[in-house]
Amino acid sequence: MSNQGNFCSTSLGMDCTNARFPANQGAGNAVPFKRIRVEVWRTDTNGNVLGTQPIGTSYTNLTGAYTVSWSYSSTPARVRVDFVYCHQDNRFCVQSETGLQWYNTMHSNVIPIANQDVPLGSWTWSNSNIGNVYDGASRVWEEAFRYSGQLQSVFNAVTIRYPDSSQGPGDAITTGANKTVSMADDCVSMPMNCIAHEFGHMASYLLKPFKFCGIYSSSFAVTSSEKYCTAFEEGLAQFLAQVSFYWFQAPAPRYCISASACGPSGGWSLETSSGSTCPAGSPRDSMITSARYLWDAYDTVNDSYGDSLNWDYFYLVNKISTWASGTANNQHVVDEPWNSALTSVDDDAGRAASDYQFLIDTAAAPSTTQYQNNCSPGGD
Amino acid sequence: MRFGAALSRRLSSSIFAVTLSGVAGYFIDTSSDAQATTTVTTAHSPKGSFDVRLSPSAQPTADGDELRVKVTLNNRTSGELDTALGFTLLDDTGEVWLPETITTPGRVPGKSIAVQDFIVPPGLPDGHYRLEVSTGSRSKPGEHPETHVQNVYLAISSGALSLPSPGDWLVKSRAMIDQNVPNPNRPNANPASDEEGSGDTQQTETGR
Repeated sequence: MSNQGNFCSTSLGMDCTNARFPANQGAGNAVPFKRIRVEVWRTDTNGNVLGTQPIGTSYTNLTGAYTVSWSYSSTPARVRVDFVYCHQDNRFCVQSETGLQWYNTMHSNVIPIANQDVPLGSWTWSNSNIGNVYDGASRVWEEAFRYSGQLQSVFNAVTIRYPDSSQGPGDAITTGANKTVSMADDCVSMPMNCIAHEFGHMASYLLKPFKFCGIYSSSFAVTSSEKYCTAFEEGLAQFLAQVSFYWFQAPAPRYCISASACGPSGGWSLETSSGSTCPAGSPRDSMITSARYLWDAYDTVNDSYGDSLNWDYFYLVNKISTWASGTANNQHVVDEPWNSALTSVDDDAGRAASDYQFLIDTAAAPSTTQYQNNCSPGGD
Repeated sequence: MRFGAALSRRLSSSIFAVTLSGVAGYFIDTSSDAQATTTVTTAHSPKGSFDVRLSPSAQPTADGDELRVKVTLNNRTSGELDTALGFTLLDDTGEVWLPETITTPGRVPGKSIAVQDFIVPPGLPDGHYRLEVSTGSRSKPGEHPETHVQNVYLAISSGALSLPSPGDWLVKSRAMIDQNVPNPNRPNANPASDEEGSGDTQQTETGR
């Protein structure tokens, strides 16, 4: 049963054209586990697992259905079915903060009849937050990341540590070098701002490892003024994540921080383009400004300022992996913010929006209009 | 009669959202909630209009421990927010023991903090529970509120209340174990009779 917010709701007056997370998949609805690992284990009379390996393994499909073939040396066979919170192809797993792999034990049953299909399961189960974390993560993969060939190659073996008591309320962090996302307990209800946002950071790092220049404001927020390198990485992470929720034809994509839907005026519009002057409350050096520039480079919804560029998602994603290595200032290299020893930041406008613009622009398709329409998010 | 129903009736007759301090229920806090980090390769999620911190504690009484939860709401915007809190008590199977109780909406000035207490009296049966605390706020009438949902995880044993971490609670409670579904091939769907030699069909064929 979903307990996730950030869905698009037409009953609240939102325009959900091309929205990928409609209300009927959000909080209060039964949703399927997609591509989750299913294991059949032998058990003793108390339901305790026997052996060190499952006797059958499979995965659910996109509708949550599964078939597992297994064998047992005699009948009646005593088995149980575990749903292990790992995505097919080992894209990611949800583990406890101490590294234990989460799973749900679905059944402990005696199967008395051989050579016969045995239906086990119900379509509505799981009341824990773990399942919802998995659902949020699988949404990012299924709706966005899997469309990039580069992410198909590099986005694997990612660990989600949940619930992580080291994180304060609503907090989540990504440690790229460890391929780990750590999330607070309450992050489960805000997938857009937690698991999806952090997966955006993870994708950014795995595509081209870099040293993050850090958060500089004392109270980091969607509209806080940051260094350009910070604003861009945060905006990039959010853009990469946002495509899990809205696709390129959406006229009203919103970035929502709430355990429910944000409504037509809640959160922040990604489609806002105000020209050379930034919108009130959204400074040039904020993450939302960078995210809006990226969205304009992606979407097919044209602004009144002549925006007609619409790159494919995989193009914008794959370009991250082409970032040149190095620390030289004003050279559009991935560790430009840092000195050569990577011990201090000497150019906090490096690896920023203008550097990414250098990566994606072609002579035939520059993003100059989109950059300027969003008050030029900055960089050098 | 379920004890939960009796507990619910008992609580419904008392005011269990206790305002602690300040004018109209809140005080101004000038402490910083700095989140600055320059750790290599880490980056964290940004904040919205407000954040909520729960400070639970077990308080001994003559009838056993009661749960006291201090709810601190930080308005990060520069304008006033109308806020309300909702409290629901559930057990580790998701069954509701105390239906949602919603506090009277209050107004929190811009860039300030409001504090409110919530109490669950002693008397819950042994087991694992979670108190779901929902917070909603909006800056103007008619606006769809921004909401947050957090949990306080508790365990009761012989009147003593403990506050495990979320992870410990999940491991020790029934939250990760779903109820058995009867095997449709069996004439007797009672799991208690699933013992070999109790009249079940015994076969020697290799299972597929």
